[in-house]
Amino acid sequence: MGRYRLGDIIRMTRKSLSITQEQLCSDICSVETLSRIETGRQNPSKDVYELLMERMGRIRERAYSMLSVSDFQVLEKTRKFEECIYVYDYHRAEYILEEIEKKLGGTNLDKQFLLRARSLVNYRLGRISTEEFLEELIKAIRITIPNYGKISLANWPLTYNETVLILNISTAYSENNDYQNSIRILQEVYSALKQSYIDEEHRILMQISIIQNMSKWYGLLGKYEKAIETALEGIEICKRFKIGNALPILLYNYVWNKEKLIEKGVLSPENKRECINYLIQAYYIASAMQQSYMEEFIRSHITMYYGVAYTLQYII
Amino acid sequence: MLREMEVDNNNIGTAIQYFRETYHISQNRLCKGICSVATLSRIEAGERDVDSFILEMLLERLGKVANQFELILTDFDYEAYQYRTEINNRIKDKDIEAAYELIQKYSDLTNDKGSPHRQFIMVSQALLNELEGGKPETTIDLLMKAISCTVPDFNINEITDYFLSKSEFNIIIDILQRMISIGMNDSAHKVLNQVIGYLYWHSQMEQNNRLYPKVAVIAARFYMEQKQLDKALDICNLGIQMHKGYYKMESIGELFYIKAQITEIKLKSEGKWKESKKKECLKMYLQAYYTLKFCGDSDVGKIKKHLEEEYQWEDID
Repeated sequence: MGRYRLGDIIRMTRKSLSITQEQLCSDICSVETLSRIETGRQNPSKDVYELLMERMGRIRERAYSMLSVSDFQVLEKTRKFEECIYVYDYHRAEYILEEIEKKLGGTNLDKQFLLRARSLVNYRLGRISTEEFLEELIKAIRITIPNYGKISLANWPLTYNETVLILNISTAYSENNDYQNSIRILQEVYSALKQSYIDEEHRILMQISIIQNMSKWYGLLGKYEKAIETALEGIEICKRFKIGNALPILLYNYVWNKEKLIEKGVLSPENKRECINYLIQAYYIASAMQQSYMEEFIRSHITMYYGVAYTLQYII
Repeated sequence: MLREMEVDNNNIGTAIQYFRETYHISQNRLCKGICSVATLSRIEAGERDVDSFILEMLLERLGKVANQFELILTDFDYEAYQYRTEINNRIKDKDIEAAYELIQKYSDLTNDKGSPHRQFIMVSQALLNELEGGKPETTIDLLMKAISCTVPDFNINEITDYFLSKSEFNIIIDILQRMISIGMNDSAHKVLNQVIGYLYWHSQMEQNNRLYPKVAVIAARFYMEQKQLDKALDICNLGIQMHKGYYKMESIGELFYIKAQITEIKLKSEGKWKESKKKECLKMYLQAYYTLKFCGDSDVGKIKKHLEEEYQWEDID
């Protein structure tokens, strides 16, 4: 559940847009009132809240308590959709999406969800190009953040849907080999997440998936040290919160970048021992987490990079 | 008209009513221990001025904890929420004094504002009693009081009648673990049966399947000690199966450790301790070893020793 204090949403949005309290509240309420609202000393009426948000280009539907799409009857289905995407089952995702499309459509939040979901499925099934995918995603994010691209999101009070959407945009850039842009977006979202009131567990999961992508893209940009540092940060979070799903890949990212540094002669070949150690760890953790794909992937990396002798000795 | 419907569908109260009716749960059963039926009716009718912790607990009892809901907090909610986060962090960092101070402030703030708050306070006190090295009986007693805040007839009636939120369920698990640790085997067995029964009856709610691995660790250990190996092994296997696709590392290392031990004991006693079977066991031990080692578990030393002695395995570092 995302938790927001009204005043914070208003203040954060206003500051992101670089407008003053006076500019925001004229004809809606007094500066004193706005100031009290922003610091949480007064709750605005629904009307005042909506007028303020509308002036800042945010959608009106954002009620006092709300769901991420307009119709809660499809919430289960949207969750199943995300699960299919997560395990790369795009055909099933499309089937579920068609069910959802029959029921949703009215509100801006619905439109945003549907636009993202549809373009994601179309892209993954090879029907549209990366450029078209990116275009659709940006269209979707501008439904609720019209200034997207012109303002920094580092302090923007992001909703769950917006966060997922922006992560998709970042991935799209990376698949266009524009790693600079992908990383810049991830950094902004990472900073926004740190100050959000989204519940801790979900925030941590999102942070880990951001870090996982960042370490990969730093590596592909040739910034190996930065990639290693980032992967280690992710591994530490996994340790603190005992999260295992992204751990094998983070351990692998760490090793991959170390290997590059060894190849370049920056690190001595003695570091290979540590690499193997990390890979063995990654292998058994992937296996315990029942990720057969990762298990196989790491086994074959050890065989190819270090020779079959190691596989025979350490991998069962 | 359309606009009105949107607002309607966009309301958490309507959602609670919808999910409640989908699962065929009466109002009385859902809100028992949390709020009155009259309050629930008002929530379902869309009244907005409700303590968000009550809303959250109702949603949790319906198995809806996901980030699908966005709640805009009132100032009271926000302050209470901040206190909770801070108290949890202090307990995590073992800063006992600061935690007690914050609990006092939280208690002043939420004074008589509903059972979820009283419950939170008592759970925190129980954990602090444990941190201070207080009597385990006191910890159990406090946890019992905590669960009774929202499950008034806990320990008298079966819990299968309830729809428990994740936090309520975890309190019961906490009680169970502490009962086992001080050898209250009969009481523990009773609670364990109830918990397993509960998960069985409520397995249609997906979030309950995520709770199963944690329970499986406790149950499998318990039955292993009672020498009921087949039962322990069944529970272990189900626990591992339920863990698939879950992001937490919790429980999975322990489950493989227990499974490896039981499989080894069984194979040896049946005279089937052959090379291929041995390899299977070794793999399970290694899955357990690396997972638990990463999590900093205290069993790691024992597993390592066993791996060296029984399997001639040498860790690379």
